[in-house]
Amino acid sequence: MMLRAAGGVIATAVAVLPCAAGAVTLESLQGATIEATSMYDTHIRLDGREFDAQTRWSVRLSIAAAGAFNASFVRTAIYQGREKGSLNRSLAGTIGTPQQAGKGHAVWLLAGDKLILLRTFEAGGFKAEITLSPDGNGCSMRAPLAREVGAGNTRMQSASRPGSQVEVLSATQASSTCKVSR
Amino acid sequence: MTVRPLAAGVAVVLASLLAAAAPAQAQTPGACFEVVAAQAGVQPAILVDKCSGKTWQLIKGRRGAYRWTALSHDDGAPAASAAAAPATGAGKCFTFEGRKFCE
Repeated sequence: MMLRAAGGVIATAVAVLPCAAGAVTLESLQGATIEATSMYDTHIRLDGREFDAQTRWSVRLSIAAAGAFNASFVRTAIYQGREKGSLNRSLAGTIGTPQQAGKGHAVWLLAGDKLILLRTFEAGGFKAEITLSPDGNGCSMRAPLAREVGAGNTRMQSASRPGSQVEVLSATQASSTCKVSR
Repeated sequence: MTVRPLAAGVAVVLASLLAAAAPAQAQTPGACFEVVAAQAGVQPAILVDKCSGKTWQLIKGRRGAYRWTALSHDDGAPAASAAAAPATGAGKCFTFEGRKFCE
C-alpha cells in the first residue's frame, strides 16, 4: 500500500521537477571562458539633464573547478558616437554564491541551459541570461535591465562622470555578442 | 526497508507543492509556477510563483524529508534567513537580496 502510494507520489514529483538532462553543469563549464557584450540604447538623467545615449556592457568570465570564477566587467558610456568614460570591475567568487558588487550585489546561477547573472544597483537591477549551445562551445546573451519594484527608476554609478549617479529612464538592448573559448 | 522513509519524504514534497500551489491556483490556474532545477552543491531547487513574486527553496530536513521553504513572508518582506537567496526563472521578474526586479 505504502509502496504503491510512494510510486504515485514519485511520478508526480518527477513530473513537476524538470529533468537535468542537457543542462549546463559546473563540470561542463570548467575551463571555459565566456566573453559577451551587450549594447543598449538608453535615455538617461545625469546631473539634472536628460540625454539619449548608448551604453556598452562587457563581461569576461573564466570558470575553474567547482564553480569558482573570475569575472571582469566593463561598462562604457557612449554619447553621440563617442566614448565618454568607462567603469571597470572585477569579481572572484563561486557560482551560486551571492556577493557584494559596488553598492549592490551580484550572483551567478545555473538554470537549465543558461548561465544567469543577477546584479543589483543602488536602485534597479540587471539580469544577464547566457544561453549555452548544446555542445557548450557557443552562446548567446540576453541582458535586460530590470526595474526594482517600488524603487522608481534604475540608478547606478555614472561611467562618464565619476562620483555622479546616473538615472536610467529607459534602456533597450540593441545588440549583443557572445563567445565561448576553452 | 528504505521504501517507507522515501515514501514519507516524497509525500512531504508533494504535500508542500500542493500547499504552495493552492493559493495561486485561485488566481491563474497552472500558469504561475516555475521550478528552477537544483545544481548539486551550488543551489537548491527553487520554486517561483511568478504571479505573486513569492519564492521557495527545496530544503532537506533532518529526517531526510524535503520541504519547500518560503524565501519571503506573505507580506513580501524578506525572511532573515533568505536575504541572500536569489530566485529567478524564465519569467520577467526575479528576487534578490529581498528586493524584487522586473523587466
